[in-house]
Amino acid sequence: MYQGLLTRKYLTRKIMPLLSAVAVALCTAMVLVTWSVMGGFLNTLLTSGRAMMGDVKIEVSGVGFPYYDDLIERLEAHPDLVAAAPAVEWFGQIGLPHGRVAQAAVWGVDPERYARVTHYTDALHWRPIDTPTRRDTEGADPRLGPASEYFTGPGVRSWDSVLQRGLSLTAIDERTNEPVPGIALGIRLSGQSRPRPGWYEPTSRFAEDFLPFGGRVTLVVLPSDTQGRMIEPRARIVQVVNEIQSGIAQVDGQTAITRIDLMQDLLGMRGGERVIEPGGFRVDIDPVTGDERFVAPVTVSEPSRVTTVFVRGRDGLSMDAIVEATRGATEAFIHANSDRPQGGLLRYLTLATWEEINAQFVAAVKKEIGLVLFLFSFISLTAVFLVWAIFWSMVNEKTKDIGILRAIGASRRGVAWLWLRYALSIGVVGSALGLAISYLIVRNINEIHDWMDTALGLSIWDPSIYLFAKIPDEVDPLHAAVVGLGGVLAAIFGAMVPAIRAARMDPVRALRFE
Amino acid sequence: MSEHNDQTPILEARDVRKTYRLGRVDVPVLKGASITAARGEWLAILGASGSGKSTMLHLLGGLDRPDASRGGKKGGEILYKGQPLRKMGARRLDRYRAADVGFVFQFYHLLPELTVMENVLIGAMVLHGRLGYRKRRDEIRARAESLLKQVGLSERLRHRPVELSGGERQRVAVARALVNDPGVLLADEPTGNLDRASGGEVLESIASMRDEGRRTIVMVTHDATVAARADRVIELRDGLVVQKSASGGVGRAAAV
Repeated sequence: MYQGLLTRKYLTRKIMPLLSAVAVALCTAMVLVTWSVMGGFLNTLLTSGRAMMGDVKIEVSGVGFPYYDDLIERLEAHPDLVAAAPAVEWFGQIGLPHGRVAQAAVWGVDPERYARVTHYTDALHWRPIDTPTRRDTEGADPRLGPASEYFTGPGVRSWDSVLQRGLSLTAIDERTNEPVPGIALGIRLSGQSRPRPGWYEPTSRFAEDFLPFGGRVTLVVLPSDTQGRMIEPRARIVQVVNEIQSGIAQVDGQTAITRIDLMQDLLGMRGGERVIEPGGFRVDIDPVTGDERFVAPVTVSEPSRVTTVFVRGRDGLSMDAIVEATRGATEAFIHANSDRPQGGLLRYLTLATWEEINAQFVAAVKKEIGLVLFLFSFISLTAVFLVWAIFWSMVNEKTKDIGILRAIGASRRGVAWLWLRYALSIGVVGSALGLAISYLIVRNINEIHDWMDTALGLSIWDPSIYLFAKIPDEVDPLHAAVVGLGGVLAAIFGAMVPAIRAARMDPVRALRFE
Repeated sequence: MSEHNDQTPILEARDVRKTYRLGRVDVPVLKGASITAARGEWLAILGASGSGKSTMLHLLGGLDRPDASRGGKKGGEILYKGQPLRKMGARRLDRYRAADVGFVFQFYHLLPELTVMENVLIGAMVLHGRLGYRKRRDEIRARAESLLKQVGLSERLRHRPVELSGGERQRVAVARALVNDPGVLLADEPTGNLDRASGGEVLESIASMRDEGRRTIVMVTHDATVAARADRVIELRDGLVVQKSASGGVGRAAAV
């Protein structure tokens, strides 16, 4: 009882304990901010795969594999799997206006099926929006109003038509009026939009300079045959139908998405009849009649191929269960098709999650998080030392009080508890303060970073290194609880020795202490 | 353990020795002093500085222990109602200091962060613990207020010690010592740090707290005038009782 009264009085009338609380708060905040940002980075890294490739990727890179529709049918029939989508992944070159060229990963997808597996629909940047994005405080985003209000000159399209073109990855050929494959570029690929807080600003307001209104780029790929040998480069001029803004720097800066049929055409992966022995004008003698006759060319029917099938599992299911379901369906698919033409390619099928694909990088990030947390926790030991030093000096200062309490009947245990309770209060106050500070910092870390960039020219978060344009700004409640508890325990730990010393004091000496 | 009755001294020091170690030197402070205090008696222990009188008070109050017996030399015994303090466990001894005796010190020893009222209540908080105190809170507060009224401080309940005069502080200390209604009040030079007028007021307060002769007071002083207020005076010199005399007080004298 008396411990509570004295703790309250000491806390409110002394500056030293407040210093201890501040030390605990700063250390708590330091560790939690680091853990939130680094942990958030890892979390974003692990979940970002789902945004653009689903949960599992089945592939034969390079030559690709046939009969993928059967594989997709089998995958989608499994109760644990929601959808699967074929894709052709290749490297290419994008010829941009004004003679600029960009290297890019070019994905050919079936947009409808791809959207069922990934967050493709959400990733299309140019679309009508009703409310400004969180950080667009001035409402300057051109998507907030009709495109015609922002752009001048001929060729302005409505935001909705740009969105629809992006969703179907289809443009209209102006000469034939026929639908043709379009391409969606990563928003940082063309260099025609610059990031603003929460939105992208087109560098030109002249509609003809804005690629997503139907500007053209040249797509160049270098195909290979089924033996992996390079063939002649193939090029196609394609209309830009939208831009991708996934938040993943690699995707937004170095990826273009087009229709799967275009990529299959360019790479020779589209199925059909293939001549394996030319006929034409070659002539031979009919062995029965002895007449001359033209030899017909020998052809084989080849199935279409894709390099990749993306798979999405049921929400809430563990990754292990999704992988297991995918593996089962894939093995059955291989078993059923391996004897068919080109079925031999199926034995090269590999299956990997996003985490496995990036395993080396993920492991490095995990190790870095562990290392940084260890270092910062070690640095936080200064809080323990500080509490220890402050409590040691306070026990000294309060020696007479300890003597008085012992004289009026307080037990040694009671005196020890007085100081530990005092430390507990300091730990609770310090940790609560630290958690509040770190919450404010983490939630506003992007704004703080932008301000540092603008005001001080100090940019710490480089999206090209950290993959994501946005610094993770979520605080995990479990991490907060662990760090908060750590702060409280650090304060108690720091006060332990002074508390024992106080409890063991000789009351007579304590009363005589000057 | 001896059975306590009215004839048994409430507090007794039997041939008590106490030695302090200063560096490598043993300094004997008490060399076999014996005193007794009867129930309701006001006993003054008179002595010069260094005579061992404060040490005797600390031993009587269970704040310290006599020397351990060794080499055929006994350390002596402190008995409360015939029961040796030496045999009390730590918890019982804490309770003895909280409930059975009350201390008043020369330098008041109030807790500076607490108000007058809180300084008095803290003794009850220590004795009763959280639950016990909450259960008796009204009763305890009423007693604390009554004690502070008795010592003339009912208007200063919310003041902190630093806002009080020396005499007032000492009267708060008297109220704190008695909040748990102990049978014995141990006062160590209660007027030693006060001017004559304030000292007189404190002595009046102490006298008024004798509870119609039921409370024993053991007061240590170097001032013969102050000692004269007691029922009986004994003198300590060099760690030994050298003189026992009845004073002109009104309490029941007890044989020594």
